Amino acid sequence: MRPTLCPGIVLLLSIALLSAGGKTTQAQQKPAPIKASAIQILRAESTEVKLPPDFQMALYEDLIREVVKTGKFQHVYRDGETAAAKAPDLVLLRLTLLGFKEGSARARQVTTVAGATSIKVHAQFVTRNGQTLLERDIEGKVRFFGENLRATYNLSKAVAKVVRENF
Amino acid sequence: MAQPLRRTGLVSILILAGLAALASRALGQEPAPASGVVHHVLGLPDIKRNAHGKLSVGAGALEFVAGTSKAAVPIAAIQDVFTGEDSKRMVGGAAGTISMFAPYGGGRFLSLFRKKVDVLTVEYRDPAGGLHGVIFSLPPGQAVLVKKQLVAKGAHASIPVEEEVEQRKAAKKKKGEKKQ
Repeated sequence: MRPTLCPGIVLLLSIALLSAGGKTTQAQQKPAPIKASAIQILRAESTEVKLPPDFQMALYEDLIREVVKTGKFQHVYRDGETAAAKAPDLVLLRLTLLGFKEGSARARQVTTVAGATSIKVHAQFVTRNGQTLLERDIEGKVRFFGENLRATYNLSKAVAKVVRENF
Repeated sequence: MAQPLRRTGLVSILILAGLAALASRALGQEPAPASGVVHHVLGLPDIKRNAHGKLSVGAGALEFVAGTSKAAVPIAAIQDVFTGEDSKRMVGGAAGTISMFAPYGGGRFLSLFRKKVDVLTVEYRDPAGGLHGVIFSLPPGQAVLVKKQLVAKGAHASIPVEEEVEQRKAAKKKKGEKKQ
């Protein structure tokens, strides 16, 4: 009587092994976190795509709030803050607007599928000398609940996630 | 004889008091509040988001009072002021969220009822040079009045009030044409 393995168990074991292998390779590939004690958040640049002033300011204020919440930096400086010049390892966060679509809160709430608001930006984390440390295209959307300005909050949360993962 | 004299004296005192009150307002000693409830959407450091209160333009600052909390933005620090229009749900807050789960599309039906609001965006720099943005939601027609008051008292605005109103009208017209 030779002990036989159930094909189901074999399949489960192989999946578990594969997923574990994937995790280790992911961990190996993950770059070392970027070291910086201070960050300065600049207002989003919108040259080609126009962002309404309320969205621009909401995005800027939400970004500051969410980056502070990450707890990754000792100082989070605002755009133009003079004290940032003295920070030893300062990182600048630059956002360039790639796209903006103002939806309709009424259409969203009534139809669920229409009226989404979206903002897409190119986020760059650069040193004082202009060297790019990290860059990503990030999008913030409001699909179902909330007013249009919530898109800036969702975008800021996504930027904060990138900060958590890389700093 | 004495009674009519006393009455005319009282009337003249009342008229004088009224004139004095008007004069003090005209001289800008008393801040002129924006009528109706104003919502602080975001931006003021010491005021909670979505707090409602009174917004007024004082002699040297834009003031917002919500209950016991008070915040002031010095007019000299204001870099730009913008006005806009938006709409928000008539039934908002927790009741509005709960209504979304009402049966037979009741929540969706309620969502149809929205009220128009004005949006006032103020950009200013703090003493350390840091940029701040404050957004208020006001009753219709109030944002333009507040902007006019701020500009009259020396606040900088990159787009004049009239031009901004014209731009909005043109944008609305364009939107209407697109729909047709």
